[in-house]
Amino acid sequence: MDERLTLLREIQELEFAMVDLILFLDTHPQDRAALRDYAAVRDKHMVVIKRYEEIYGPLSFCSTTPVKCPWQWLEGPWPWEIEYA
Amino acid sequence: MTAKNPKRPPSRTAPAVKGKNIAEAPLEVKSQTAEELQSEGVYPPARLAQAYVIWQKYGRTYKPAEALEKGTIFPDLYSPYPY
Repeated sequence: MDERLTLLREIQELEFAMVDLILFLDTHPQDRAALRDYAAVRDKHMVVIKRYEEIYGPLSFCSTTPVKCPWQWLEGPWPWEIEYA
Repeated sequence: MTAKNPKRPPSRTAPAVKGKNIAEAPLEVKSQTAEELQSEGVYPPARLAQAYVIWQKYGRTYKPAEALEKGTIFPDLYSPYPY
């Protein structure tokens, strides 16, 4: 569970960084440094998402990880069942 | 029947426009500067607000972990409440 939480936390951090960077890019669409950093965070995000989903199953219904049998979507814990503390 | 709300001000009929049904009255828009409105006592004698923001420049950013803790990835925008 610890590694799962660590990965989830890392995904949250990377997604937050992406959100803040895309807000900046909305008003500065030609800023090369911001574009470079956005691309770097997005690439890292894809790697971490892949690692998480390979072990713990899909994070979203459009996840690109292989579909396994049985259907993994119903396997817990659900976000509200996770002890984040 | 419900009692009339005593606090409610009496309804006023719309002011009549001379010789015309109010619906047909042309919309008169008189352009007035703030100065003119102030001389008529419409505006209080103060300056109008003028808002501006400085254009943000891209510089150092926090690492994602620190950004999530601080609520922004930009050190320039990090401004926690003092309590």
